[in-house]
Amino acid sequence: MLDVKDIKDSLNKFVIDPLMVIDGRKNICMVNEALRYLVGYKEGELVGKKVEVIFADSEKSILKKSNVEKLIGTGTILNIESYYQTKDGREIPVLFSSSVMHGQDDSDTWIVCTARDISERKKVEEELRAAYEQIKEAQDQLVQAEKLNAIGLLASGVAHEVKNPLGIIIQGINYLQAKFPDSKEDISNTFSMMMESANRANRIVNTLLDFAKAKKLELKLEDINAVLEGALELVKANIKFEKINIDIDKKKNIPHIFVDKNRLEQVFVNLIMNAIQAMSEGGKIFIRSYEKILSEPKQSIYGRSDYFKTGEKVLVIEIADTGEGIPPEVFRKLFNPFFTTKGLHGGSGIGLYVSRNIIDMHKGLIEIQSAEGKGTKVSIFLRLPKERRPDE
Amino acid sequence: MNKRKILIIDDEESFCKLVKMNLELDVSFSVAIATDGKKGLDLAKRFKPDVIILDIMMPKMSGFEVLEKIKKDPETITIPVVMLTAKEDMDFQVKAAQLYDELYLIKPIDAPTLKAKIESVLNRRGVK
Repeated sequence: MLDVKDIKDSLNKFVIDPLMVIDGRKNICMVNEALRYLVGYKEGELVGKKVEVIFADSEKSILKKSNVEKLIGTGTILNIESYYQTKDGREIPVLFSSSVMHGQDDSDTWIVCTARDISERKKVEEELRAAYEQIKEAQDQLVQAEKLNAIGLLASGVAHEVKNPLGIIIQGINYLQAKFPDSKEDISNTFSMMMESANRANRIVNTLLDFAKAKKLELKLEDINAVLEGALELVKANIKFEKINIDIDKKKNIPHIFVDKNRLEQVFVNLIMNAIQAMSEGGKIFIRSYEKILSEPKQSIYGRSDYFKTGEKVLVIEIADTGEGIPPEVFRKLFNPFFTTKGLHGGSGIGLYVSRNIIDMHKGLIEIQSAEGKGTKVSIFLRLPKERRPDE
Repeated sequence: MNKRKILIIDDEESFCKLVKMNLELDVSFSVAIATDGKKGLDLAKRFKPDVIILDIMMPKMSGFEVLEKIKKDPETITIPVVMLTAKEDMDFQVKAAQLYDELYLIKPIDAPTLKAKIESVLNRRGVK
């Protein structure tokens, strides 16, 4: 017949699940080898300590260090997911159960706690969850791509229908302006507003057409600094901006790279215009181009571009402003098509979307850093021609 | 005074009328209108314009078909044509340029720009 000591020895050595017994004051009275092994304590290190010592305060846990005393001892707990904390501070997911035992005397109360290590299960669950997220993201991207295709087709069809009436409106305003050259200020202002609105509608239609255009690049070896200068000239020719200084720092002798000049110019125009519009009270725009060896790998946070490897030499173009910066709630939506913060007189919300697509088509990256009230920096990473890559 | 004669062929009647009104603010211009290709070809022979402004996207007969007929007819072959369309498409531009090296303009176009383009075509032809 087994005596108490034999039972304790058996529990200690042969029960494969981590087990402990605590008294009514939640002091640990006994732990088995499996528990000590799991949480990394030596024999004797846990007995006499408060039960909280092996619980972690993980946010993911229902039964955590801060409420363990309240919960254990209230009765039976069956298979609650909790986290044990090892001696060196790691968290181990466990399936925790406990039951209360009463001795002959009512004051003799023990609580037997068992836990099963579910690290492997959690790992598999996590992998499944990640796989599910990936599938969901891929599905979302497909749906989005389908939607954008449909919008593209619609845009190109509608553009023709809209441009004809716009032509009539513009010719009509021109005629009235010519017929009443000395009209009162309110009338001439009305003509100007009508003309500006018609031009704005035309700009939106043109942007939609850009969006719908076939995604094919005409790659040629180009001097990126010349493309930047071209973009800057286009911006200067199209809008007036006061109180904004543009500081351009182009590194000499940077290699020519294969790009579609017109498409890239479009990206730079979009980014410079965004910078100007972010500084209604004036400010400074810094434009830089330089070569850089990456100290860490880079991948588009949108997962659409290839990786850039550590040690890879790339061409970087930076366009930074000292404007109002981008609020966090806006940041995630920046590249969504038709998302704009510029209101009625601003853009159509296509600029950054189109820009990212163009950079993507060049197998490059576009990265945005922003601090509210301080400004925004957009960095474009482009690949150098293969023979220039030091790792190849 | 010999007027500079312009023919507009475009299925958008309102557009034709407004272009005519704008151009004729300058008394040296005389503008005729045709709202389809067939009428346009007919007018090209009778009106004998110095320049034809021709829309590409038209029902029944497209601007390219009209252009081809203009350039094949000895009576109209020498008349310069300014192609005008709302469809900003590289293929159109290439096609127009390859066919007869004609000027190509995108709608919407404002009156001063259109007039300037027409005048530059007329100047090249020596039409005062």
